[in-house]
Amino acid sequence: MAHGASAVANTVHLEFPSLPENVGFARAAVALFASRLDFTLDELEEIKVAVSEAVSNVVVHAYPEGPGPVRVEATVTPQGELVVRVADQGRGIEDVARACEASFTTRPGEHLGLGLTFINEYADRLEVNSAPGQGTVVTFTKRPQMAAVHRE
Amino acid sequence: MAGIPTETTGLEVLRYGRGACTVLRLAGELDLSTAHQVRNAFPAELAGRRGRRHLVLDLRRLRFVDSSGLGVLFELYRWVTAQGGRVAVVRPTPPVARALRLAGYGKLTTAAESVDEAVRSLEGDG
Repeated sequence: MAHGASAVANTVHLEFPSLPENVGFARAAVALFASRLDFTLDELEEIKVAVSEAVSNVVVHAYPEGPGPVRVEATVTPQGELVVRVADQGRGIEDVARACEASFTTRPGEHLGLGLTFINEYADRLEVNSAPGQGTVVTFTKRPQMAAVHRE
Repeated sequence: MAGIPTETTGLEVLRYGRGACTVLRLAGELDLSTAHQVRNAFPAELAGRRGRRHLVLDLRRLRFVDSSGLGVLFELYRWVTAQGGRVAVVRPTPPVARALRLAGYGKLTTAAESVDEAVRSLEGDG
């Protein structure tokens, strides 16, 4: 990347209410931002799924009383990685470790409980920070594999 | 390219009958905002009606699915199999195929190269 050596991390952020129709917009916007890195089309698809899962989780779980704010932040680090942070100010997660287990859902029959599993599968790193009443921040990192190969 | 908004936000659902099968053709993106379109096109009451026991999911033009979208595909699977039917999946695009595999959907369903092949395969099961 021509700009890979820049010391400034390029960041964009989006803020929108947690409505289902914004899920597609968020993943498309982040994928467009990510497309300036050396991601393959497959990797851009993986990024779209990961964003979709993180934002859908906010829509479904964060605000039981009605839509609340979602903030999506995408950053290209000086190392050429994409870091995506999806934050809400909702009710938070009681047991983060349990929420990360495959097929765990608080709404069985309605949801598969695979959201975080998919992010884990498609991103290089996943971090979930949450506490009841304190909102949730899901952060994942993705590195273009092609670029990693070139560097070695 | 990835991320042209007009291409990324909708889902088209077409339902038609073929012999003992209902065929659902999905085109576009299946997620939290579009899952209800699939439910509306194939409500639980429809499973097994009019002698159409089986379901063919034509996914050749489905570009995107996430776990919310998979959730509705699992619902259809439960409804159809509860009526003694089976489900076949026709040529999912690579990203969709991967998501189906991860969720274990491929193990539950029959893979087919075309709608015709899917119909033949399901009807052959009797």
